[in-house]
This record gives sequence, C-alpha cells and structure tokens, in this order.
Amino acid sequence: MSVLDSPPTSAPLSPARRPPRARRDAAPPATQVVEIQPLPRWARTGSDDQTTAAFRAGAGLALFDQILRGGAPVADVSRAAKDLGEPVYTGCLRQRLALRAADFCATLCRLREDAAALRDAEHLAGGSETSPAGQRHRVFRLYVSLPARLDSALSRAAGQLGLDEAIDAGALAEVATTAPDPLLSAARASAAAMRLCAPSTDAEIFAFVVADLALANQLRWARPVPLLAVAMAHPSLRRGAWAREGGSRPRPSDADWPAAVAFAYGLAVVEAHALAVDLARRAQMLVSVAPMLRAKGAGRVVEMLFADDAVTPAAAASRVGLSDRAARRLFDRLVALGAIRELSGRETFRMYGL
Amino acid sequence: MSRVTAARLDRDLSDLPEGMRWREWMLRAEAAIFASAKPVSRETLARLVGDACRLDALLADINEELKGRPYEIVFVAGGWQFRTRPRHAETLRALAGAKDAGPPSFTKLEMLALSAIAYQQPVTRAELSRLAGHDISRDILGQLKSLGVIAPGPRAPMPGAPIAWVTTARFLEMFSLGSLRDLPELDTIEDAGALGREIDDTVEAALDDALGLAEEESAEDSALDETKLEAWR
Repeated sequence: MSVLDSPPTSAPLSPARRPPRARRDAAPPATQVVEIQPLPRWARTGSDDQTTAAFRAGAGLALFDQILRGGAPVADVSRAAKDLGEPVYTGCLRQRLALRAADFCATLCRLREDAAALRDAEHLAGGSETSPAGQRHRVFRLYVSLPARLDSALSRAAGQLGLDEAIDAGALAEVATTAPDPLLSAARASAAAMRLCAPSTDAEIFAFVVADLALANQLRWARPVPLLAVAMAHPSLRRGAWAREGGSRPRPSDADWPAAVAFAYGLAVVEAHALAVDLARRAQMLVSVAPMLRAKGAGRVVEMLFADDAVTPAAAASRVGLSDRAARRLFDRLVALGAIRELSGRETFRMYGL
Repeated sequence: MSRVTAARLDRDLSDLPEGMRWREWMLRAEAAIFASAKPVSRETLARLVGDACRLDALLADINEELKGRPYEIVFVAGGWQFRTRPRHAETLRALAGAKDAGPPSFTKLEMLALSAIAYQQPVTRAELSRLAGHDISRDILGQLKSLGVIAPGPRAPMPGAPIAWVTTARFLEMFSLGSLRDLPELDTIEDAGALGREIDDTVEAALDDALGLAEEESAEDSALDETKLEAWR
C-alpha cells in the first residue's frame, strides 16, 4: 500500500511497471496559489473613531479585494472556483465565513448550536431536514454561491428565513447603487431591508445578507462574502459611540448604523484576511501533494475540498463514485501527507477540510 | 400577482376624512386576517393600509371592538391570527369532530419532552431521556409529531445516527410565541441565580417547574390550557 501511495519521485519497483500515466490523469491541473502577506499593522488597529473606522475598513477591503482577484491568470474549466481570477480556495473561504456568520446568527436567535454542531447538521444530513439554526446556516451557504446581485434571489433568502417573500428587490438595488461608496451602500441597503421587514431577529439576519450583497456588488466581486455578521459578534461593537444604551449591539434601525457598519467591516475584513492567508498556505500544500494521489477521481475530491468548508468521505464517495472504504483511505492519506485536517475530532462521522 | 393588485388598491385613502379612513383600514386588516388560513404578517398588512397607519394601534382598536365576541386577534408565529378565546375550548371540544379544538391536551411527559426539545433542539431521544431523567418513549415523540409541534431534524453524529428533534412553526403558533427567541428565559423561571450552573441543570430545574405546574392541573384533568400556560410563561 505504501508503495502504491508513495510519491512519484520514488523508483518504480520493476522496469516493466507502467509509467505513471494513470497518476497524471487522476491528478488535478497544478494550480499556482499565490502566497499572500498578512494585513499590515496600520490596517488592523486604530481608535474607535468614525473616520478611523472607515479608513481601516477601506484599507482592509482593498487588500482583501487583491486576494479575491489574485488567482491564477489561466482559468481551467474543470476547476472548482469557476470565477475567473479568483484563487482556488475562495469557495472554502466563503463557506467558512458563512459558518462563522451562521454561528453568530444562531446565538442571536438564542439557539444553542455552535459552529461544530452547524457543520455536523449541514454535512452529515446530506441536504435533508435540518434544525432552525441549520436553516439559517443554509441561507448563508446559498447566497455565497449566487452572483452578487440584488435581485429575485433575495426573496428566496427572505422566504428561507421565514419572512415575507414579496421583498421589493428593485428598491433595495436602487438604494445600494445610488450610495456614494460601497460601505455606505451596504449600510443603506441593509437599513432599507430592515425597514421592509417586520422588526424581528430574522429580519436582522436578512439585513446582514443584503449588506454583504450590496458591498460585493459595489466592489464587483463575483459572489458575496459573508462579512458583516461575522464581525457583529465582536465585543468591541458594544462599546463604540454608535452602540446602543446599556452596551448592546448596534441594529440596522439605528441612526448610527452606517458608522457601526464601517467599524464592523474593518473588523471582519481583518478576520477574513487572516483566514485567507491561512487557507492560501493550506491550499498550496494540497496543490503540491495532489499529484501524488492515485485514487480514482482524486482530482475531483481535491476540488470539493477547495470548494467547501468540510467534506465527508461519504459525500466524496457518492460524488466521485469511489467505494466508501476507498474514500476513507484517500482522506486518511491526505491527512497523513499533511494537506488537510480532520475537523470534527471524532472517531466516527468524520469530516475533513483545508 | 399580489403586487399587481396591491398597486391598484388605494392604500392611503386620502379622499376620506380621518375617522372613516381609520375605520376602513381596520376593516381591511380584519378582513385579511379573517380570510387567511395562516397568521398574517406585518408586511402583508402594511400593503393594505397607508404608510401613515400605525399597525399596532389599529389592531388594538380591532381587538377593542371584539371584546364582546368569543374570539380575538393574537400575534403568533410572526403574524396575526383569529383565535377563539381559551375559555371556549371546552365548549368546542364537546362538539363531535372538534376534539382537537383549542390547545391540545398534552400529558405531563409530553409537555416535559416538548419543553426539553424547545430549549435544547436539535436533541435526540437518548439525550432527551437523560435530560428528563425519565425514559421518553418513541410513542411520546410520535404523538408530538402527529400534533405537528415537533419534526425530525438533522441526524446526530452518534452510533446509529439517531434523529435529532426540532420544534415547528406550529409549535410557535400553539404557544403564542413570535419566534424561538421569545421562549421564557430559563433564569427568570428559576429565580435562584443560574450563574455558574450547568445549562442542563437550569433546564432541568425549569422543567421541574413546568412539571410541578402540570401536576397541579393533572389532579383534575391533564390538560394544560392556554391561560395556565400563560401563567407558566
């Protein structure tokens, strides 16, 4: 077994052995993952002042924008990240941020599930029934896979959150496009979304979705990135000048909402940038070991890992047509090579990801 | 479709005098809630009346008029709905074919299981039994499921991949809750500070309270009706 899985550099057992052609078929095209520098210190820290917050958000978003556009120049059709110019791991990046956002929203709704439980509910259920918190997680998962446009997809998201589906997406799009800058666009669109819905927790979650959509739309990102809800959990949002009486979290209906949004995006983009740096390193690792994999459909499994937060061996097996045992062995091999991690920490019902 | 008709409807009624306009809005809201099978949301009602209309005041006025009637408009599961008043539940149950009228009669254990699911969802049968200190049988869950208050959720990552149960929108409707956030705070139920205690302990204490209340009632009838439930909340 170890011989079969050994790297291609090792000497073949006998001269009669076939050249590693099959190996090359199974392996995905080698993709260059550009290493990224951590966010400079001046873009990470600063006072709670409104102009500082807006400056920080702008600097952070500009650098994060560079990451999203810093993919391989030659796009391969079979690649997981279909958007031209985006690095391969952006699918995983978006889904992982979506998980963090859903984790916060579950707390907001006073549901007890944490990120690990949400991940289990999503990946082990296989797209069937889920819990109320899982339902909200699915909203985030769905919208990060859609183009960044404020259109009819919004009413689907609203419906999934149990809100009235007859949302006037046109009005929201107009509010978003007439704002002078992307941050204000996000703030105004989310405040408008909150006004359209009844003042409930789910309306607030919907406002977060609308804000991220408006921002991505203004920055011309291919798909939205969940950022606002990720930062809303941060305790420093309860302290700033825009926080409500008694140190509670700012709401989209507040007068100071645009300032709070700028501050929150400043925080979120630091987190997203750090995650991207980490994922770029891990993706580089996975790209480098991918040619060593000999399992059938290994290339497509690697794409699945790039595209999602977590992959179960069962999901990989059914997608690629491997046997369960072969899928488990493939993941064990990837872990042994140090390319991926086991995420659940369990002995059974395991899940793997970058 | 609905937006087309809404556009044609004169929402503001600016040609009517103040009082008549309010009266017309009240009638519209009442008609919409009366005709709907599901609770009618705020957004839906807002499309029938003018922007200047304060919906809460409007519904309060409607309820004021309904004072002498055996039904009222209640906010449940994210919208408004007509409800017969709780004290008429017995009358309706006496009718053949309306056995389920009013709040359903949960047994003590069903109530225990339901409240545990509401707070701890998604939760498996094994966890429920451990939490309740009592075996929660499949029959109890089956009964709750047939009443539509719980539904199977995701499968838990445990041997046998058991179903974890969650509550439904019907549950919110039945217990007059706007959302799961409106469940009573556990530490307000249990006055002794919940600080430093395991969540499971607090839940158990809360459940004991609920159970105690249910026991008082089960002396005569195991039914836990709406008014008593209010007291529990």
